[in-house]
Amino acid sequence: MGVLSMLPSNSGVISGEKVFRNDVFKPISLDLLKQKPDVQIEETDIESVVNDNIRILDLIRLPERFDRKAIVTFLEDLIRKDFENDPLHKQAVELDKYAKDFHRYMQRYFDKIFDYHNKLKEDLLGYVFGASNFYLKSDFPPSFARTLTFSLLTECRFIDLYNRKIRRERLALITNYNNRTKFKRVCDIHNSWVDPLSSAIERITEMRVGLIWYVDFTHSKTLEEIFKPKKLKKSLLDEEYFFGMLVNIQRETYQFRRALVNLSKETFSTFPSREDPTVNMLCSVMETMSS
Amino acid sequence: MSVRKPVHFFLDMCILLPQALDVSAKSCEDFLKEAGESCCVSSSVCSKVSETLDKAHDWVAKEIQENLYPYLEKHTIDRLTKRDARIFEGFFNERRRRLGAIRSATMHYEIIRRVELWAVTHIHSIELGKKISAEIFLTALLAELSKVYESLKAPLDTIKVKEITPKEEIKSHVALQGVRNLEDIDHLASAIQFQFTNDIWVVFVTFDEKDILSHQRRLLEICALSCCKPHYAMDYSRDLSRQEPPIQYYASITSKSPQQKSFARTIETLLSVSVI
Repeated sequence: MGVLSMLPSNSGVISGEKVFRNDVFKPISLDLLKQKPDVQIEETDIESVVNDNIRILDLIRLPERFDRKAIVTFLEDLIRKDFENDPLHKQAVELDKYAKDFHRYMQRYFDKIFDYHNKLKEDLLGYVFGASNFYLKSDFPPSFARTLTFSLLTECRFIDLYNRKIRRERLALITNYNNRTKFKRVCDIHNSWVDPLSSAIERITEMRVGLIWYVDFTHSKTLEEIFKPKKLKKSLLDEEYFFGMLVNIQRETYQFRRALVNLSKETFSTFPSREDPTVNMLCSVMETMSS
Repeated sequence: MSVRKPVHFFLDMCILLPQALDVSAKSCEDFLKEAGESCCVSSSVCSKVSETLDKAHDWVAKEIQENLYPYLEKHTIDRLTKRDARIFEGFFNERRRRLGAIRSATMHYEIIRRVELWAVTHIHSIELGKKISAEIFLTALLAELSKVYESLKAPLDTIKVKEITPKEEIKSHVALQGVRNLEDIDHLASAIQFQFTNDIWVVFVTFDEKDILSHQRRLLEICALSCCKPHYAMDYSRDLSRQEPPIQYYASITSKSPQQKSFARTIETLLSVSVI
């Protein structure tokens, strides 16, 4: 495996955010809402109303001259005409259709986001493994592995937080789907917290990839060697430049984590096991801080 | 009538590090549950904890890279089985022995304890008769080390940090009270400076008997800084909240000792407040 293939170029959670952001910016222009829903009167609707009326008639004593079958046919015609001329019914059907589609599409849309994020996290953890392997087989300083893996695990934190936040936003979007002002407000709030974080994580990703490129290029004599596995040696690097890159990534990661904490301290309170008293203590620190 | 400001708790480094004793951990936990919102750390403590954690991670990572991996290669152990747990026992015991030479190695011990547990658990979970690549296993061990590091770093992100550059003159006064460790002098001077700059009572919370709590009385008497263990912190807070704010309190000391006068002059000059 070449060094370049170890870390993501610039895909990742960012593209996921953009998909979401673009869509929520133009909620009303979603295809499903543009299409005029089919408002044909459903036979089942008529049958249901007829049955309701027949049930009422069964409760009262009717003169014998009325045939039950004739009543049903008569009511069916009446209700059909009534439905056809009733603008409120059309509207109700239309809204019902929107609501059904909206819930269905929103649900599917968010499920896809969560699924994508789970895969993304798996990838990031794979990169943590990759970075650890490069470090193990090199004579690089431990700060190389620490910086790379810490920024990758920070990105995992971001995804956790992102998922947690959009779960709440999804609910708000569904609740307010028929209120354009409120819907837009939910979108605006989403964009206001996502934009600065996504640009920050994009910067960190670029710096991380830059570091890997630098290491790979300095260990390659020809372009063909770039993607090939190689033993990494500290002596081939310009130490000052290399450590400068590490420090820059560390600084950006630190600032990013601070921004994440400000957004949601609770995301930082997920620890592997609370059986351990030390872990439990640290958890408590975080829980207390976030309470 | 002036409004009483809430007491701030400045945490020492040891409060943020894993505790060696369960009793201490419990004490920290109880205190933080009760006073979490009023807790903060000075920038000097924050950077020191961060540095300690970085050093501990780097030390363990380097030991795996420079000793464990070459050891396995040298002995041509390229595959590990369920029965190889004792390789790790030997390795980690030797690291513990070497840690004796390192000062303040609490974090090192904690990290070693966690990655060792991970290694042994995973070695034991290998199916009988199966072998896994030693290189892959060590890589996974390093990846686990990264996760442990990240999780230990997380509390630091959540605690409020007060950016303070303690004045040299205040540091001198702390040193005059018997505190010798330069880092502790920085942490204590930061707390004192914050207390008088903001006119808010500060309680410095620590477990450090040797370097700080042994000078508790003098720090209180001369610098008006209360230092205590976490389990007493709320008692200090209650008592201090009944007192006048720090500047007024210090000014109200009628017959100041020469040392108190010297401290008051320093505070007046540096922070432009009247405490004489």
